[in-house]
Amino acid sequence: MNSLLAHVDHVIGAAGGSPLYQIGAEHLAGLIALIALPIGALILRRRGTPDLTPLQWLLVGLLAASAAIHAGLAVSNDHGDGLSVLFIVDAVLLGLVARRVLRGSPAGRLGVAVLIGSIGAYWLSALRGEAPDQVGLATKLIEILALAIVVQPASGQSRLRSVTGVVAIVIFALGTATSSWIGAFRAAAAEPGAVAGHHVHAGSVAPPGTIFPAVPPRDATPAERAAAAEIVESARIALARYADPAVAAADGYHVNGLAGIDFHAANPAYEHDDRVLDPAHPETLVYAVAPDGRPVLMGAMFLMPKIGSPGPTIGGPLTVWHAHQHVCFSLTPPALAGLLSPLGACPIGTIDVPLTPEMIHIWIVPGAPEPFGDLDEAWKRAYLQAIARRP
Amino acid sequence: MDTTRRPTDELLDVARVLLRVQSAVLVATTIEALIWNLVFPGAAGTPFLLTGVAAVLVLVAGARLRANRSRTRRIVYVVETVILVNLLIDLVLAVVITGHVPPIVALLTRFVLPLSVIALVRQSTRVTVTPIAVSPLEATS
Repeated sequence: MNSLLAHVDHVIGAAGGSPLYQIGAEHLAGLIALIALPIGALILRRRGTPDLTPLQWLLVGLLAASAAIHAGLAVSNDHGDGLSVLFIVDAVLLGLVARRVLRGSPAGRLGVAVLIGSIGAYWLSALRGEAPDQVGLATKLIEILALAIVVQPASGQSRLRSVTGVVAIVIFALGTATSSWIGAFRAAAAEPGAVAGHHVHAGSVAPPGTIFPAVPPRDATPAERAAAAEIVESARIALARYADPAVAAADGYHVNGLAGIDFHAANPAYEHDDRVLDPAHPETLVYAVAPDGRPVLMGAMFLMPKIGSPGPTIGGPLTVWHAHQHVCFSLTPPALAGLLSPLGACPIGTIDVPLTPEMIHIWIVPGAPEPFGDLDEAWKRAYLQAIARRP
Repeated sequence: MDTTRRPTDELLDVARVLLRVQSAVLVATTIEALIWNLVFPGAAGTPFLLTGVAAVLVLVAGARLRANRSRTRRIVYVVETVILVNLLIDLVLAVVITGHVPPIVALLTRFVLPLSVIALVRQSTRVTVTPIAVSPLEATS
């Protein structure tokens, strides 16, 4: 069963990507439990359908769906016995509230308490570093909608209560999104090497928006170390001329608006020239602006020509390529605009780019702690400060 | 207290709740867009503005939605259509590039939610207005 679930994990989400955009194998049982809903509906129909409004029916459906998912998660028992018990308690309470609404009574304070408790428990779990996934997020969305129905004021009630209800729902949506971001990044940071892109190993949790290929946990061979050192040295020599952004601009790099400490200047002409990891023709140059305003060439980013083509790992585990997933790209003007929200939306006016070609950074600045992967932010700032102090 | 409710009111009750949740999602996305705008200044703030305007429109439309307010209904149709078209582009990209559909939550908030709102608002204008019924919700309150 576990091997089947593990397989499904890779089928449903992009392997090596953030759990935030995937269905975790351990949560699949929750989705399977949703099959209970149509069965329950059939039984209800045979017994005679209660006379409820569409809003009450929707509330019953939402509560029953959340109860079924929690029951499924408890049965799959991948979260430990303590959490399984909590899932069962949650499922029972949600079922009780659904039963109450089904009998024509309002969900009342019990309904509010159960829903807020369930959403709050999710926040706590995410803030403690549990990686959120699509099943958890969909369940919270269902509960937020149920809460919106429960706190909906009946006609004739005060405007203040209506406004309070709207504010509460906004806070719950915002809290769910925030805790999910924190949980996703904390889970990635808890895996050593997952962010640095250096000692990436199978089982690492990728941060949102990034896909790491699974790399066997081994040290680089002497030949791989030599190859990695050689490509860095070649890049250092070949890219020296681009220290002046004007030269880079003349060769087609987009250096306009150079700012910040991680400015990527792309050269569209090199993106489709079929040259792979050519130190003399990187697809993107990476600049930083020193505190005195001086532009500093930090390194280059090499891009594979096609999405899905794996980059050549000439340095073995030292040269791990990565891709990006669910990047929001603005069309007005064309620019990077963020990552797909845990609530499922990119900002309006942007498109969700589901996957990019693989890429790798090579840092040519002397003394860089990592010649490949992510360059440490603190080191980068200290280096730029030192540059600014030079005459 | 007015105890006469038409079937359209009950459908609009559902639409209003859905709009309320949708506006909450859009407000959260607007705040995220603002934060991302600080990280990636190249986007020039347009996505933040567009999402913010959509959030306000949906919020106001949700509060003002009534059977006899055609202007509010038109605003709802326009915003929901923009969201659906945006999703359609993302869906095509996702299927062509990865062979997968977008994540479940994206389908819920950007397909199921807007489509349900459009269907409910359209249905509410079609339902015959003659039968008068008392809502069980109000009857018990």
